[in-house]
Amino acid sequence: MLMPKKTKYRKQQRGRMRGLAYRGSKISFGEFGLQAEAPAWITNRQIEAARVAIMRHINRQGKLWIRIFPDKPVTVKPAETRMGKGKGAPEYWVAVVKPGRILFELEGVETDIARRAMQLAAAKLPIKTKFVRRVASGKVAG
Amino acid sequence: MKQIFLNSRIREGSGKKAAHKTRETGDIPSVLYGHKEDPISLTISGHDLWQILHQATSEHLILHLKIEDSAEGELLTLVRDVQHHPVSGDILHVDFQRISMNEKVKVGVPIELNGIARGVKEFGGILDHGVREVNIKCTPKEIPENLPIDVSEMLIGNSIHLSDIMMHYPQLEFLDDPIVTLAHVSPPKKLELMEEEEAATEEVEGEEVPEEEGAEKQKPEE
Repeated sequence: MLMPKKTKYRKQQRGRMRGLAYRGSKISFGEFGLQAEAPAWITNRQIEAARVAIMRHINRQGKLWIRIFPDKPVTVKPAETRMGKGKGAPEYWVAVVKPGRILFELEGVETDIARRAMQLAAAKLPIKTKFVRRVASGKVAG
Repeated sequence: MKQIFLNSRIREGSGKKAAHKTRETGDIPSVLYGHKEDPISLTISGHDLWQILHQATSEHLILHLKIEDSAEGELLTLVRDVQHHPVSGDILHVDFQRISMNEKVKVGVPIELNGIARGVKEFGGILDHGVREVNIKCTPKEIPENLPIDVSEMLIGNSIHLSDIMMHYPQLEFLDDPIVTLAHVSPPKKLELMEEEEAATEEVEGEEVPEEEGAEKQKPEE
């Protein structure tokens, strides 16, 4: 699963997810893409599940790009613990996604196969997404 | 190249608020610049622009821009930039650049790969699209809609570079590096390799990220 090799600090504050993804909102590598329509924390397990779903459907043809990386550690306090006594231990990693972000890109497969693969991947994710494809000069269209 | 005409009006007011108001009416704020003249803020019809861009293969179009109530009259312009909304894809703003028919302009032209490569059809390879747009310098008359490349004879491991197509377009001045790859057929990913990869990722799953305790200790407490 995706996670940073090393980090400067073990724990991070939660932060906010305001606004739109102005960066990473265009299809840059492939022909088809899956675009987020809502903000969310996407865990490395969800990214991996979506990747496996895509790869199984495209039957290992084509090429896949994962455009998000889970670089934010999430801490969880143990069960049945009283409040206080410091922040919990890092449990998993998430990618902070804002609306408009391209999550996955795909190339080298037919449109129908790409659409179905992205649909299967979308089912593994906690947010509403849409299938997009490259149009002239990198603009995206639904 | 087909001549395309677009009407525009001079836009009063600037900034976010004025731009939002313009978009509410279905129009699109735009700007006209170039030829060392002062830039002019314009408003164009969203419907007209959508129709033009919908039929075009590239966003870098040459337009005859007519400005209402202006002494400038009809101007030859190049669509230099189009800004889109990240989620809806609606056009937010357009940049027009003044050009003249005799003056050379720098513009990006899309690459079109035609046919199915032999390496893909017969050997199951993957056709990688390299650069999708190349920058050229030429007069507006000479700007091609796209640069078609026939990939049908490509085998696994074959590549087409910009230098391979430059000879077909002597009238164009290519600004990109000639060694830039436009298309490449890579071998299919072996099933065994994929399985090894998956096994490797499962192993990584159990491991923890090494903690940088030294860095943490050095951090001053606030």
